[in-house]
Amino acid sequence: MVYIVRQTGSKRDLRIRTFDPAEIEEYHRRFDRITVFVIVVFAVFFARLWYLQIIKGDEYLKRSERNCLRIQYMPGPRGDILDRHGQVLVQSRPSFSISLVREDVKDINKLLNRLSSLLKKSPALLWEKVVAAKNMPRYMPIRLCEDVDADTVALIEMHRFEMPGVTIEIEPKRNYVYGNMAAHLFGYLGEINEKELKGESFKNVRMGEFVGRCGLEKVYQADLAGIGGGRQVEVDAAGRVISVYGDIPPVSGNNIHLTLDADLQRVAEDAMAGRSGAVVAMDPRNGKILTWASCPNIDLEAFLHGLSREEWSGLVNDPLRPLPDKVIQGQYPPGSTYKIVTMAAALEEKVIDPAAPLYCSGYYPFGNRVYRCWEEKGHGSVAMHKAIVRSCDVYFYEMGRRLGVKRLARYAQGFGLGSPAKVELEHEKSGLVPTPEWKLKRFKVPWQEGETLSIAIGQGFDLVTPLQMLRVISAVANGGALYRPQFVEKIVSLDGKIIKQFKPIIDGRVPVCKRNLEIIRDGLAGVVNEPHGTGGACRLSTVMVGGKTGTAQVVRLPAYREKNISAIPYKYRDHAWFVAFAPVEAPEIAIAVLVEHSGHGGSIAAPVARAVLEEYFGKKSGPDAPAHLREAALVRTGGANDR
Amino acid sequence: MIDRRYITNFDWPLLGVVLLLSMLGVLNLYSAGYSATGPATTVYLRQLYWLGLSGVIMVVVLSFDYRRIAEWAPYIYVVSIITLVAVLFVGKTVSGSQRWLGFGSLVFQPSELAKLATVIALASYFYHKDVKKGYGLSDLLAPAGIVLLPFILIVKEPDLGTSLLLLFILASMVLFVGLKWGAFLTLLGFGLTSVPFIWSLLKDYQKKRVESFLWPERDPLGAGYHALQSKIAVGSGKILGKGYLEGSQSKLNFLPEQHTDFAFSVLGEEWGFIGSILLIILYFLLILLGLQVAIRSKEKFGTFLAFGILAMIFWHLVVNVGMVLGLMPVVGVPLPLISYGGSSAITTLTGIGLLLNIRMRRFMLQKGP
Repeated sequence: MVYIVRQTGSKRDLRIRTFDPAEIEEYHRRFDRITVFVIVVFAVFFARLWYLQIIKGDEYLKRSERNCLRIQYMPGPRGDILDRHGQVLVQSRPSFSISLVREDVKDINKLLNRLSSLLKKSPALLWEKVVAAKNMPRYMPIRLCEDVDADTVALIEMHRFEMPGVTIEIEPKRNYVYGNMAAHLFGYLGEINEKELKGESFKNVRMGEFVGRCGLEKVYQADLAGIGGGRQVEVDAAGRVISVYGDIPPVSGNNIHLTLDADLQRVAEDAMAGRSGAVVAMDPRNGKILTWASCPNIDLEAFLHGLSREEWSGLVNDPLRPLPDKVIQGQYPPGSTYKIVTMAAALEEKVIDPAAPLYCSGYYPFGNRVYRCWEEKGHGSVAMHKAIVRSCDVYFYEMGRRLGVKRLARYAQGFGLGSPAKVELEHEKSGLVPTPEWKLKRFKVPWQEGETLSIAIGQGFDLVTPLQMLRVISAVANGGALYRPQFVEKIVSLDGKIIKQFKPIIDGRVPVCKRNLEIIRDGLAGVVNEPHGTGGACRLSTVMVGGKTGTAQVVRLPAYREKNISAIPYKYRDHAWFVAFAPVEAPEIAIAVLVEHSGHGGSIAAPVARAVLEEYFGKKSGPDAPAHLREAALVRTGGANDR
Repeated sequence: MIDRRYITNFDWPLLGVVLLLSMLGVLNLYSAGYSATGPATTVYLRQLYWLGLSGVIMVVVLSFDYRRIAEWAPYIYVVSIITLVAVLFVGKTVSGSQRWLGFGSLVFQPSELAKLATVIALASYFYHKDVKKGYGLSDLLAPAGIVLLPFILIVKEPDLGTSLLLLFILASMVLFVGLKWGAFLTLLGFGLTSVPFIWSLLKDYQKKRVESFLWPERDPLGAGYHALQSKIAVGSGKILGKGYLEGSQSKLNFLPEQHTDFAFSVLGEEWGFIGSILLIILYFLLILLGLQVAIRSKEKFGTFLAFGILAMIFWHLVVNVGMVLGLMPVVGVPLPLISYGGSSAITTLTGIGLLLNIRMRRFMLQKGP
């Protein structure tokens, strides 16, 4: 405040400043002028009311009686979604709908009956729509029938003269070029609801239009959404346009170019056919996502029409859980893929000389319990390389014991586990890296040393998402950088102008030196390429692949241990993991595969990864090699418990 | 003990006009919410509650000597600024603007209060500054600052109408207390030359907004459509109107915001030329009686404060009626006492209370300072 207020005590101190005589005169002159100004303003109002109500009154009365001004909205088409090669994946196509303007209808009963025969819909259904809109202004079109085919449009057009009030509207509709491919990544659309209409997030969206409900359609709603246009028109008694007063053409939304590769995506989803799980791949050099499959897919088209209660409960109760995006919302024990983290910690903390052998007899006694290796016969003398290649549990139990739970947790967190990868999509789960503090808080019981052993081989409390495991394997592949997964390459306007170009983001580095990462890569190459490696099913003849298998136990019930997989109830079957990168010398693709309740990583998940890598490198390995290897893998892991 | 002179000096005609306007407003809101088919809305009832609350506040305002307010002005101003800042952070958003503060079920619009607080702050400033021979440019920095702060905060909400009203009020009061000719011409010249400069600073979407603000026909789907429908409503009322509760434009939802900004269109349609002119005359009386309060106050603060309050009511009136009659662009500004709005009712009636206060205490000066 610039001015100072005089502080006064009691009422008597009120300072009063009166006008000087000269001032009084001046102010009276000003009051006179103000009065004149006020009179002029009110005279203008008087004149205007006279003009509107008395001179033009009849005309306006006539216009109000047959108020024939209509607003015709034209929604702006949503932008397309394209893959990294410019292939259109999702686009907008024109769709016709039949609407009704009550203001122009003479006999609504007759009209609805006539329409019901033309549209082949029951009159009750049409009535329902009219009743639902009873609080809307009478001049606003009520949508009766959406997305009608061209023949019906022609039929209605032919009979329009007999049916005043019926209008045909064209509007853009979402079209999924590849069906439900990458459905979770794209996300479905839903009609905007009343609450959203009132909010400020959807300023350009009008009633009846669709907005992104999840996935990229939601994240990039503002970029994809077109800007609706429309015109103010005068219509005749039949609802036909006589004159147009103002016209604002609709504007199309921006196109989004993804980093996704449509061919890889298709191969990944085909390889997962009939299964539940996730396949996610990215370029480890920059974090650009190449595939993003959560299987089974949801039916995007069905969401456009709105799901019935039965369809919803069908989706919710489906044992394959199609609704969540398993890439970021599925949380699973990592199984043996976690041994990558344990190995990194052991190397970095120097708890063992990599060349020093331990002895695996098939089990590991600790406290009053015996911890089993998946290989009941035991691996014999095992040094680090052999331990990772054959996924020896006993070796990693010992590493876990030497490291302790806290150091293990620190490395897990260093690899980005236990926290979201900060992708743009919603509802990303953070997984879980257990610590003694966490367990005390969560279960009110102290940490048991034996639990550290389970953690070391990725069982127990550990939970990861497929995306988190992809980041782990990518960091190993690229020399330690944790890239933020990137979906969008650029956003381009309709006239080809680049609105926004996205750049890779590094969120951090794993706490492992380059030399140790190389030791790990060497081990992972062995997993796939050495004779007794567990990942042989992902071997390619032309490119050297490195990877790690994992079989995540859902329950630890001895009853199911030796049984054939098909004899175990679905929900108790193990999850199959495989993470991989290639080529080992200069990795350009990293992939994580998770197949829910399917069995072993080496036999189930590795072939899925192989299919994608094969497509990526565009070459086939020897025709007999895969079959031979797959068989070998089955022999090695069948019935046993490769975690 | 109430001094008998309070009663004899009380401005009964002004109070009468205000009561008549308020009752007309409630009657009209009943009709605006009335629908032949659907259930009637209870907006008119809520307006009654608000008027009751405003009446209580008005009585409170009458109970103390208005000259105290010259001292309280900074506190009132600071509180109103705080509420304006608060609304930007915790305010409720309605149709894209964050203008409301909620206390339980009570929703309050700080920008309404800010107008009155700014008027009080300006009156107090001019009173204490007491420049005799017209204000120069440097004297105007402080009042400009007083207005600029709430102006910016209200623009941010965004509420273009209210923020422009603040500028109108400032201009009116500055012209009233007197400007040096040099300052007047400089400001005029500066104002005219800065328009293209400010225009170049605006972003594309802001330009578009200003364009449709100035030329509603460029926005045929929004403002232009509303302006035309409002003209049709008022015009179709002809001389006697379509009759109470019979307005087809408002009943068929052709009118937008018929409870608030376009309440006068409902009245014009149903009561015709006669009713509209009656309303205009009541407002005319309100302004003239108010000006008498300002003229007859024997001391400066009363004159300035009364004039500021009148400027506030007058510009609301001009912008709203001008919009309804299609003389001005569509700007969301309520018509005092006729439009529905609790904050607007409180602000208007508090202002009227201050006018009555100034009028009934004018005798006190006769005792000598």
